[in-house]
Amino acid sequence: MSGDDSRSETSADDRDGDPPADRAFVCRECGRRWYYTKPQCPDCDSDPSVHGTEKLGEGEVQAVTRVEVTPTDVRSPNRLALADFDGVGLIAQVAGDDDPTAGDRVTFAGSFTLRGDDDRRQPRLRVVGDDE
Amino acid sequence: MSRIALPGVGMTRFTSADDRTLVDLAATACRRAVDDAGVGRGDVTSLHVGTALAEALGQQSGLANALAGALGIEGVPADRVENTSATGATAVHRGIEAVASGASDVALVVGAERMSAADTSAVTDAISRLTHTREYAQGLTLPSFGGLAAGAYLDRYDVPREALAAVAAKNHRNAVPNEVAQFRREVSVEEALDSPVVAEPLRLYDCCPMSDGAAAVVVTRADPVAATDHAVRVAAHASATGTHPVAERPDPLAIESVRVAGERLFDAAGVDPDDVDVACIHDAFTVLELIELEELGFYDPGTAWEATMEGETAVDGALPVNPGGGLKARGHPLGATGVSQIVELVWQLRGDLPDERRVHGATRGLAVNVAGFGNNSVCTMLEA
Repeated sequence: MSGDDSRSETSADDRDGDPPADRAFVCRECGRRWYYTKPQCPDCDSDPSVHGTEKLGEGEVQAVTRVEVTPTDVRSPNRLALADFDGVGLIAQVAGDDDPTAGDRVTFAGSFTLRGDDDRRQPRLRVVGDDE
Repeated sequence: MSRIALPGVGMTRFTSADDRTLVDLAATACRRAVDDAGVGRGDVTSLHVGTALAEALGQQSGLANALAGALGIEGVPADRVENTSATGATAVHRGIEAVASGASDVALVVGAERMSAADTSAVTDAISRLTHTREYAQGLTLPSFGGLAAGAYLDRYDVPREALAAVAAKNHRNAVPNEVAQFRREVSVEEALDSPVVAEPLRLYDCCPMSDGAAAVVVTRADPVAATDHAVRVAAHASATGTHPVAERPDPLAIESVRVAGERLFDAAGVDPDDVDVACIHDAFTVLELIELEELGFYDPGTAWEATMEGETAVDGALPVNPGGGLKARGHPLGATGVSQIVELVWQLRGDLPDERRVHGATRGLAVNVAGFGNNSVCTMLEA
């Protein structure tokens, strides 16, 4: 994980929709971290008023795919990686021409449109050590 | 659960585009099942209707009520079931439970879908909406999950790409003599390997099609039909949910919902995988047939591909899998698929199919119908 500046200053329930792609939820009651938005902490059942978010650091790729047949508002091909960030699993788009394989280290970087109907700019996964 | 029987089944041929309305499709399957059971429409005491995408694709809403009217059985309790791609099997389970509880004497279950009602992008989006919002934001589709799992399977177990193609070739071969299958054409391993990439390493022939169709079963207590040719009984039924986001699973090759539902099924039936003579496995993607066979205990992890390539899962093999062509070649109209698996098992266990597509001597069959990419797995075991 990165330093203290990665901590959200607001509670998770203050957000409008899901947090940015490079942030995981953290429970301030029990310390549990998770990625996919839930109405309570999966360990201690605490409510979102005590959940914050924190920026993910480096993760390890477990599986990859290159999707050629994509929804109309998603790039084609869509390179995806399933990665583990110290126990937090997620699937995310891979940046540029990066072609990670299982075991590679990845981190979120850059600013992209992930879907045409989402006006937010979001980071994608990049192989650690590769240039954008 | 042996006191529950399925005395009648029926279905429409699955196709890429059926001009009939969703109500007409469902009614046709219902009439065939009721006729097959030898009961009258007036004998039906409950109606259980499965459809997953009716509203999303601009089709009939309130399908259960519309169908009751179309069939002329107004007055019976009727409800609609939705469980994404496992909608059909879940509807069957609700029918079984209605009869088992005494709430219904003759339950009519039907699953129906008409995916040609909208263009491919609209159907793809409707299906993709079953993912978590943070998965949807990344553009994930069901084939995306299949591609990730297939890549992990080939990599972990050092499996040749031909193993996936062998599943497609087998299931297409099985569909050729199946009069209700969408694709009655053989596909060779070479053709499958050369087909366009959908989600690497999955190619076109690794993926199920979009389909129109309906399938129905009649559920009753076993006693009245025990002495008839139609005495196929429900040995057990079980289901289990899994994680909603796929990435929350500890292993990309684990589909815990299949494993748990399977364990519950075998426990309830009091039998082991070795006791199963024929299986209908949810092969929405070729790799799923392999993973599910392993999760259900038919094969050790990483070995189902070898068994497939050696012919063990062929119609004349030790464990025939998807003798009707599976989702891959019979077709996958979401709400109908799980019911069509039950129809196939009933036909196989009755032994009233042509020799060329019959599993000879089968007395026990298993079906697994999976929602999403393992969000929910629904297992049923039948016995002759």
